[in-house]
Amino acid sequence: MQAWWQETVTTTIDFKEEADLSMLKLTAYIQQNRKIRIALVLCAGAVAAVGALYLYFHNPRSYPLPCIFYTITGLFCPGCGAGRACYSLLHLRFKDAFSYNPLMTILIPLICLYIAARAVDWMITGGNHVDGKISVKLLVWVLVLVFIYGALRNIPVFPFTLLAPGGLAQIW
Amino acid sequence: MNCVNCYQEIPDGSKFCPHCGAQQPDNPGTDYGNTQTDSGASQTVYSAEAGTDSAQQSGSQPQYQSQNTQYQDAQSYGSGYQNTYTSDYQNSQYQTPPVYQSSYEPEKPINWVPYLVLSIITTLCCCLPFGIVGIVYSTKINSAVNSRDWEAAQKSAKTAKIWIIASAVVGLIVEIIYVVLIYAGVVAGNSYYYY
Repeated sequence: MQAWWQETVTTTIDFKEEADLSMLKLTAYIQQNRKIRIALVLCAGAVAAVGALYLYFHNPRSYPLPCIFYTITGLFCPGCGAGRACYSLLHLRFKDAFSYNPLMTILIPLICLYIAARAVDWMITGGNHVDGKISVKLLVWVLVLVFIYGALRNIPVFPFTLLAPGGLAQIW
Repeated sequence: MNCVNCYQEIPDGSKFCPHCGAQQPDNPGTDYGNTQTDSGASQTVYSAEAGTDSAQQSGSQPQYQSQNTQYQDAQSYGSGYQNTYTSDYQNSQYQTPPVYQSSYEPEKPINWVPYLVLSIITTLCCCLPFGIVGIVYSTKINSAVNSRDWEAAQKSAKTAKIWIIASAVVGLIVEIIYVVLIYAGVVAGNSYYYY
């Protein structure tokens, strides 16, 4: 007796969420099929490799990659200089990389590590076992640091100009 | 109370019509009076559940109404034997919450770490303003989870996801268009560069 009633309720809910359901089916299918996951991760890895290769052979000094934020506001964003830092890192010139963007030089390897770990974890297990192990406190501190850094590097007075892109090259 | 779709008599406070399945508009304020006056079935159930007089009933009514209407729909209209169902009602059904109620609430709280990490990355690398909106919504997930408001947490998570994707896509597309324009010689490339 109760079954027909619950069935009615369930079908009504299904009808309401039919749009979401097809999306859920697709994600569930991908989640359960390891071959598709591996293919997707490899595609993403190939795109990243192509990007890295492009950057390796194109120095941002001669092939500029403009910062939209800088172009519009004239202020350095916390990521300004990250491209040249990446270029220098790819050529294993750590000192140059540090002078372009000290914070991002530290963060870029961590970001790459995070993305790689998430991708590999998802590829093998289809789940997420990485995020539970990251300290939220640390993340909030990184976030605060990023914003303070972004503000400080725009102050045009000596000790702070070192934080602007290429600023540390004044001393070295 | 009558169904808004098929006009058949249905239990007060029903969310869905047991005859045609149509969703009913919720108006808990008016439902309460009807339950007390004209629905003998639900009163029996209620007295059995509370075991007290009507003064106490009115005090705890709103909570009762919201929790148990679905039960009434299922049992009273399914069996029609009021006396039997009130007796085994307490033993079998009432103690456990209805299945479709729990299906609305995620049991696991949402982890806000991936949203925060990804919004920080998009802020740094792609599009600063959209990324900051993503950060704001990611922190909203955390506060919603802390106050055990799963629905709000899920909503914030959805919004954060949209802003993160928007930030990444807008940042990359604008960047590519800008670079192409510089190479095409439309825009001067001597402005300050970033990557």
